[in-house]
Formats: sequence, structure tokens, C-alpha cells
Amino acid sequence: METTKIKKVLIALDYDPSAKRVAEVGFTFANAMNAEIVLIHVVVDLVAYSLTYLNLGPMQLDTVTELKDASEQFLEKTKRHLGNDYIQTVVREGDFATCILDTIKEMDIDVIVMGSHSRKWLEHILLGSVTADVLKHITIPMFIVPTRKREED
Amino acid sequence: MKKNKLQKILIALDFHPTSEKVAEVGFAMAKSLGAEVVLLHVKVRVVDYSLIYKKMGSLKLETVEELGLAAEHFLKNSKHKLSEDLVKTLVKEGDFAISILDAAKEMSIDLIVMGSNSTRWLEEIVLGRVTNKVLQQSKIPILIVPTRKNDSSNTFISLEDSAQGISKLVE
Repeated sequence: METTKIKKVLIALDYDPSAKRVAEVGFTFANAMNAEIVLIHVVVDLVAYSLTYLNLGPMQLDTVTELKDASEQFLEKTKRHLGNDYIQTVVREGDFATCILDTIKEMDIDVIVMGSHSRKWLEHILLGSVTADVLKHITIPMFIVPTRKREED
Repeated sequence: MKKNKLQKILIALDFHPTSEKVAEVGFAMAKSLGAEVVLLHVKVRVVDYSLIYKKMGSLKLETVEELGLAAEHFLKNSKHKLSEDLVKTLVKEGDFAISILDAAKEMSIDLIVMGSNSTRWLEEIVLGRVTNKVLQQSKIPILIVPTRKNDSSNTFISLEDSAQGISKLVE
């Protein structure tokens, strides 16, 4: 069996306040492993967004571009917060699981870091309808950071 | 801010043949991190076992003892296989998720490593009501190692598989 080397870590972030913690833990982990870091935010399709953020109601089409812009800014901000210029950032649009899996493949990722609160994501990846398929393709370990709903510190 | 150092890693194993992979990934990681390793096997309750190992039907009581012995043997062999003497081994009994989290707490573990083949465990840890609660209180990250075989993603593991896993490790 080949030895497992972790050279590239993908950190999936969303707009949840806990993203900061996910980024930090993932960052520490990647650093300890001497691995490259890629931050990713997936702008899911509009239907999914309106489902996730129920309060938003239906959105207009041009909002997608705005969302992507905002996402890029968000990742840049996180990158600055972590204080490492070598971090790559990626914003993708579409189905979460598919985007993640594609990125993993394209960028040759060894481990994906994500928050546990993202149950929607997890469901998508682990238990969703696409899952049977997706599960067969996820071949890298997932590092799940517990993120409590009420983060007091 | 709390320290985010990963110094102590808990690797949770079952009898599934893929446990080997879980252990290896966990070990590779522990080595890179320069972290201590605790290998854990949880003997679940008989009822749970009969749920997991569908084909076994209901178990006799003495089998639980045997399971315990097998568990220790299993851990010893994984330890040996990974040629690491500084590794601690631990066998716990009870609910899988709770046992893991208890062990993690007791031994001040920084990271839990486990396989994804145990979808039931996963469901419990990620989505289960009890465990979700525990998880919310816990600050320990979990590393899930994908271990599924093509066809076993949704089916429960059979006794044969487990036996193979054990004998493979014993060899």
C-alpha cells in the first residue's frame, strides 16, 4: 500500500460565522503537514440558495455575479486573516458536491477540510441522491471541523 | 484563541478489512504531525452487533467475550503492522460514538481518525441526535478516511468480511 502523503489541502468555506474557525483549524493542520492550501467557496445554484437561505426569497439572475464577486472578496479576506500569501483561492458555481469533487480532481487535492455544521453539504456528499455516485468518487480523507452553533469564543 | 495543535490522534478501528487503510492513513498523518497515537476499538453491545452484522442473527452472550479478545488481538496486530511501539491501544464497550468521544475526552485527543465504510457510525456522528449533541460540545476535528468498496457503500458488513479482515491482519 502506498504511503499517504498530504501535499495539498482544500478548505471549503461558506458564509457561516464558523467559517473562520474552519479556516483556522484547516490552516493549522495544513501547516503542520507542510501542505499547500486552497480555499474554496461554492456558489450553489439559485434554487439551492433560496432553499438554504430561506429568508432571501427568490433572487434575481444578476445576483449570481454579485455572489461570485462577494465570494472572492470573502476568500481574499480569509486569506489575509490567515496571513499567508501562498494560499490559493477558488470560487466555483454549481452543485456543491460536484464542484468539490471536480476541484479535488483538477487540483490534485489530498485532504478536504470542512465544517460539521454544513450538514446540507455533508448530506449532499454523503447521503444525498447524487451520493451513491459521488461517494464512489470521493477518494480522499475528509477533515471535519466541529463547529458549534453558538460559538462563544 | 485556543491552541489548535494536533498532538494526539485517536484512530478508531473496527473489524472491517478496510480498517487497515484507516490505520495507515492515520499513522501517516500522525508521523507527519509528530503526534501520539491511540488505537481504539469499540465493542458495541450485542444488540448493536446484531444490527451491524445482519447475517449473524442474534449473538450468544459468550461471543461478546470473544469479541473482546478479538478486539484486543486486532489492535495488537494493527499496532505491530504499523511498527510503532509508542502507540497506545484501547478497547471500549458501549455505544460507538459515545465511546469514541469519551475516549477522546479522557485522553485529551486532538483529532479522531475513522473510516467512512461505517456509514452507520457516520450517520451517528454527523447526523445522529445524541452524537450531534456531543459533537457540538466537542472541539475535536474528525478525519474521515474513505474506505468503501464498490458495492459495500450501503450494505452492512458481513461476518465473513470481518473475519477476513482479522485474519488478514493476523498474517
